[in-house]
Amino acid sequence: MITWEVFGAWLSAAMVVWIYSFAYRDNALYKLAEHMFVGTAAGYSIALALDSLNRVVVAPAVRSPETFWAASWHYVIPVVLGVLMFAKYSRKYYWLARYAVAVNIAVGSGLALRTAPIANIVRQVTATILPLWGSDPVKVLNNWILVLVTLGGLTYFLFTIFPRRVEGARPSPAYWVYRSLYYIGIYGMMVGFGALFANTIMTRVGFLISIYLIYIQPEAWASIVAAVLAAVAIILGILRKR
Amino acid sequence: MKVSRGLLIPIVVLALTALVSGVAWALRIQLYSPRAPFSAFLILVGLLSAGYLFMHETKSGKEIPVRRIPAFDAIEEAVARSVEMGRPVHVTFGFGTISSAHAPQYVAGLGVLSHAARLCGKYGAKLIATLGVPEAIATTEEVVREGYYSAGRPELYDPTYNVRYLTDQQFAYASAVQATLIRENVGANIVVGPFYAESLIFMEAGNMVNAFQIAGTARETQIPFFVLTADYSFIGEEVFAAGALASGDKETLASIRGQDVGKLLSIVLVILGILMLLAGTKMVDALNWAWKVG
Repeated sequence: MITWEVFGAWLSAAMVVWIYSFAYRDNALYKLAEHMFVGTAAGYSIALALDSLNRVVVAPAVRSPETFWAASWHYVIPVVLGVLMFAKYSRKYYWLARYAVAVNIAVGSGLALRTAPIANIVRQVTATILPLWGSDPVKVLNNWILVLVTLGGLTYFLFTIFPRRVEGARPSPAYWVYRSLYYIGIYGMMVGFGALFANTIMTRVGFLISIYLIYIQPEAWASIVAAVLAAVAIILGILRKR
Repeated sequence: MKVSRGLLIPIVVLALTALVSGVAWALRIQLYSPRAPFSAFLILVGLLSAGYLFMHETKSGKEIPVRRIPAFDAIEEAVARSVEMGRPVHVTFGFGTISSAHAPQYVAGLGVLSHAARLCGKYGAKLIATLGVPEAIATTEEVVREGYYSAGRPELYDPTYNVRYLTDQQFAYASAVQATLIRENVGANIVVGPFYAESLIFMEAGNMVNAFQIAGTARETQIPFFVLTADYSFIGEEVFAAGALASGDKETLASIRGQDVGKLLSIVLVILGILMLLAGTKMVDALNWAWKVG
């Protein structure tokens, strides 16, 4: 029996192929999948926002206004800021929208600032204070690499405070230390990026396998037929265009 | 001796903080979070004061020299190349909500967009700014309009063509951006902001149309993709420096110097901590010390 779940699986299987077809060339089925995806996502966001507004503000304010104004009056502030966003459609009052954006950015910056000294400085510094000597040579080497690459990375990201080389004069020792750490930082980061890249690709392959699992679910024949039909349609479309 | 107002303000703030902390300590009042190290608070206050002082210095005319960032210099080359080829320039700075902890990266992305818009106005290039941040639509339109107007080319500004809000859902946004890159046959693809798994999709789409690609993010999991695939890339903190350079605002540059003080402080603390470890003292304990009453 064709249920909504089975139909969803067919559509999902077909859309995977339509989206993948973009890797070869833009085509009508990719456009269909893209517009369905973007439209659904936009609609979903709007529905989610309206539902949230209704649950948090409108419904409580209508149901029991006294309780709302006593306990949740502060929800009015984001509502007012949200309404200000619409001011951009007015030529005269478009500047009001800036206040809403400014509050949003300030909240985000405040959130980032709250944790930055702990996560980016204290935790990193305490994790880098390591003994550079000891009986285990592997551990000592590991500690040296960690400390040097951390100091190098920090040195690389100094943009305004660093020793400069005076034209025609011999470079100062501070300049040599700076340049050495700078290059250690670059090469250390490149090694790190390589490892991160490989790690992320491994994760993506895991996602790919989970996508392929769609095709071996119950009623797999239907999904496979949908995907094959989609692929045939794309190939025919491309051949016709040629 | 006359003390300037700029210097006086951070001194007063620091003195008040010390005074209130001292009184709280004497009265055994739990003033700070017992879960967070107190050193983090001191570092935050110190760095904010340093940033403020540098901003004050720039107001009095002091210039701040900034190290050259090749990716930033390449933006002009990318715009000029696009004009020569008769193709538009694409800029995007991400999706999601601007009131997240990634707000500084969105601001840096907007700074780069502003710079690109000015250059597009200067060279007469078409600019397409795609975005997935609904709160930033008004700001993006304003930034692009300002870029064309300041270059004396207001006739080139068309909000429906120049600024395209897609959606705030990650892969829907990604599929629409990659389609825009291909269909508009962009000459330059500038991608600066907080990006997630969509980063490689954008780069691959740009590569398919042989676009000049400049990309940057401070999200360390995505930096490798940009370093590998873009012609020029902003690595990590370079994104913020680029945003400050692009804004052309001296006070924003002063904030970059404030961040540099933080990095220098980290270097000094690591070296000092290792030397103290050699002498048998653990600085880590002092850094992790939390204010607990009782």
